[in-house]
Amino acid sequence: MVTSTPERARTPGADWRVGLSDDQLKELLYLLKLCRYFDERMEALYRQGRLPGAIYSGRGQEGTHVGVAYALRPEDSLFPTHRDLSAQLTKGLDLKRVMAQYWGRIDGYTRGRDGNSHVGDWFGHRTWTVMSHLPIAYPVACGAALAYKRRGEARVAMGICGDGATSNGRWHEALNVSAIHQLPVVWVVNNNQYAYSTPNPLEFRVPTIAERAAAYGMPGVRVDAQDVLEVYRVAREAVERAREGGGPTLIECVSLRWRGHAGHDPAKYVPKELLERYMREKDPVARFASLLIERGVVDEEEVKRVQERVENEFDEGYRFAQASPFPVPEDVTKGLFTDDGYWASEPSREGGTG
Amino acid sequence: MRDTGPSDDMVRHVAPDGTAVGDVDVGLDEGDLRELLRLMVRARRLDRECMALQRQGELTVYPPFEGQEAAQVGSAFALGPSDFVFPSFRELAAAIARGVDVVEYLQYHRGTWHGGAYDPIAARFAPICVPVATQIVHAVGWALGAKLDGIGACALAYFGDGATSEGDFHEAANMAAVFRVPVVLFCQNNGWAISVPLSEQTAVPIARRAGGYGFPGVRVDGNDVLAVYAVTRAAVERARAGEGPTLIEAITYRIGPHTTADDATRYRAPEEVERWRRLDPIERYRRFLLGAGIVGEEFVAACEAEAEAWVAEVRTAVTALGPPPEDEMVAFAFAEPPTTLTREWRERTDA
Ligand SMILES: Cc1ncc(C[n+]2csc(CCOP(=O)(O)OP(=O)(O)O)c2C)c(N)n1
Ligand SMILES: Cc1ncc(C[n+]2csc(CCOP(=O)(O)OP(=O)(O)O)c2C)c(N)n1
Ligand SMILES: [Mg+2]
Repeated sequence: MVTSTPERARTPGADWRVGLSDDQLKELLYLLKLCRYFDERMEALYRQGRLPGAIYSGRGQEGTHVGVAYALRPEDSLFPTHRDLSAQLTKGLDLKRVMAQYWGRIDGYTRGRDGNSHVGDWFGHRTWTVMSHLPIAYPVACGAALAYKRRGEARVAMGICGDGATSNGRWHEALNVSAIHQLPVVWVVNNNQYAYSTPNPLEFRVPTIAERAAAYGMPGVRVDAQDVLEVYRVAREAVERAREGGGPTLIECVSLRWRGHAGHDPAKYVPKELLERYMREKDPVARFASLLIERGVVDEEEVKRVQERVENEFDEGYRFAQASPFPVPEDVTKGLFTDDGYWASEPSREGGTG
Repeated sequence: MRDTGPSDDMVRHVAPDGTAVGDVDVGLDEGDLRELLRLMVRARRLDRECMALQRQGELTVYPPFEGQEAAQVGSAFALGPSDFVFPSFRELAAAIARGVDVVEYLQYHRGTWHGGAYDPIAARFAPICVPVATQIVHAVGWALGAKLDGIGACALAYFGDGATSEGDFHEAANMAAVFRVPVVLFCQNNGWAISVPLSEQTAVPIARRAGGYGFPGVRVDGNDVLAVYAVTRAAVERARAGEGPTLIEAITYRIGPHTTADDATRYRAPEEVERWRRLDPIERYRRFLLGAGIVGEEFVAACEAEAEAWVAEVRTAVTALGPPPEDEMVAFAFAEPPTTLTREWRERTDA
C-alpha cells in the first residue's frame, strides 16, 4: 500500500487536527520551534568556533522527526541516527543535558564520552544512543521489538534512517526479519533526498522507498513531511497497529535536507531552485504555525511567546552546559565493558570547566 | 498461510508427468534438447559418486545438488561463451554444463587446493563461494565492468533461498538496478537453508523482492529444464540489450542433506522428500523427450552408460590427487606474502 498525503485540510469531513487537542497541537508547535531554533543556533555556534565536534543539521525535516516521535508512548523505544536529534527531543530528552553532551560535559547523556551527535537516553526516555554505522540501529530495533513480542509487552520500537541507508544490507535484513516474525516495529525513512552528495536516483531505481515494503510483505506509506500532522497520523496508525500485533510498517517521510551533510559541507550539489522552493513552500515549522493561527488555535502573540520560550530555554541550556564540569580523566575506563556500577553511581564532578 | 512455496504462477512448459503444458519450442534444436538430458544424467551420476567418495574418506565435505539438476543445467545452458557464472558451493551441475574441468573443481572438496584449480577466467566460472550471498556482489561488480567495457556479456549469480535474506543480496540487487548492469540473479529456492525452512526466510515469494528494486522477478518451475532454460534465456537477452537485471526464482528441492555433514532427517519429514522425489526433474524430462519422439530408450541407456564411464574416470583422477604443493597456502593467496607469514614459513621449512 502506498499512499501520498491527501490534502486533509481540503477533504470535506476530514478531521484536520487528527484527533489532537488544542494543548497537544500547541505542544507540537513548541517542539517544532524548539527543534528549529536549536538547530539554527547550534550551527551558528559551530561556525563561530564555539561548538567543538561536528553537527548534522536536521533543518527542514522537523515534520518527520517531531511527527513520528510524537506517536510514541514513553515506554516505546526510538532508534535514531545522527540526523534525528529533533526526534529525540520530541521523545523527551532534556535540552540542557543534550547541550552538555555537545560540549563534552559530565551532565551530557554519555557523561562527556562523546562530543556531539552520539546521544541517547536508553534507560530514561528509551532512545538508543546514536550509532554511526548506518543503518545499524535498524537491526537493534528489530531485536528490541522481538524482545517486546516474546515478553508479551505492549511496546513498540521505532527505527529511523536516511534514504541512503536503505541501500545498506542491514536495512534489508531488519525489514525481512520484522516481516517474517510480525514484530512490533515501525520503520521510518527520513528521505531528505540526499545521502551526503548522492541523490535519490543514484540510491535506488524504484520511484519511492515506500513501495519497497511490498517486497517484504508489509504496508508501506509515503508521506509529505512538510505536514507534521499527516506524518503524525500515519505514524500513530503504524505504531498502534504494531502494538496490537499487526506487524511492521514502512513509512517514507519526504522532505529536503536544507543544510549540508554536516557543518563542513556547503552542499553545492543541491540545486538552488529545489532548495529555495522547499524553504519557501514546504517549511514544516512555518506551515504548522500558520495552520494553527488560521484555525484559531493560537494567535500571532502566542506564537511569539512560544518562540521566546524556546530562545530562553536555549540560553539556559547553553549556560548549563558551560557550567557543567568535564569528566575526570581517571574515569575514562569506567562503565565500558562490564557493569561496574559506573552508570548507576553519581560521577565525579571534579573535572572543572576549563 | 504465507504464499512463499510452489504455486500456479510459476512458468512451466512440461508437467511433472512429462506432458507438454506450454510452448515447448524454446528455440533449441533436437541436438540441444538431447544434450540437456545428457548433461543432467551426467550431473546426477557424478553427484551420487561424490557422496560416496566423501563417505569413503576421499572427499572432505560435499554439498549434494540432487533434485536441482534442471535448475542448474537449464540456466547454465542459456548462457553464451563469454558470459560469466558466479556460483555458490552447490553448483557442480552448472559447472558440468559450462564445461568446467570437474576433477579440478573437485580439488576443493578433496581439500587439495584452495578454490578449485580450474582457471576461473578461462572457464567463465568463478571459484566456489561459501560465504553465503557474497558471490552476488562479485557478479554485479563483474557485470558493471562488462557494461563499462561494452563487451556485450552478462553475469549470472547462483544463490539459494537463504541467501536472499543476506544484506549482500540487497546491496548487490540494488546496485544492479541503479546502474542497470547486465546480470541474472538466479535463486534456486530449494525450500531449505540448512535446517531453516523457507517460511522463516521470507514473508513473500522471493521473486517479489525484485519489485523492491525495480526490475522483473520471475518464478519458474525449477524442475522443468525447458522452462528454466526459457526464462534464463529471456533474462540473458534482456541483460545483453542493456535493460538490466532480472531475478529468477527457480522452485526446486534439495533431495539430499545440506552437505555430507548434515542429517536432514532431524528437521524435515520423509513425506516431504518423497513428494519431491515424484517431481524428479530428470525423470520428467526423459518422459517428455520419449513422448515427443525426440529420443528413444536406447539414447537414454547410452547417456547412462556414458555417464558411468565418465564418472569412473573422474573417480580415478580425483582419488589420485595428492596433497597440494606445500607452499601453495602462502604462494597462491598473496601476490606479496606479508612478512609475518614468510617468517613463519621460513621457520617451518628450516626446521
Ligand atoms: C555503514 C556506513 N557507511 C558509510 C557511512 C558514512 N556516512 C555517514 S552519513 C552518510 C550518508 C547517509 O545518508 P542518509 O542515509 O540519506 O542519511 P542523511 O545523512 O541524509 O540523514 C554516510 C555515507 C556510515 N556512517 N556508515
Ligand atoms: C555468510 C554466511 N553465513 C552462514 C554460512 C553457513 N551456511 C552455509 S550454507 C548455508 C545455508 C544456505 O542456504 P541457501 O542460501 O538456501 O542455499 P542452499 O544451501 O539451500 O543451496 C549457511 C547458513 C555461510 N557459509 N556464510
Ligand atoms: Mg536453500
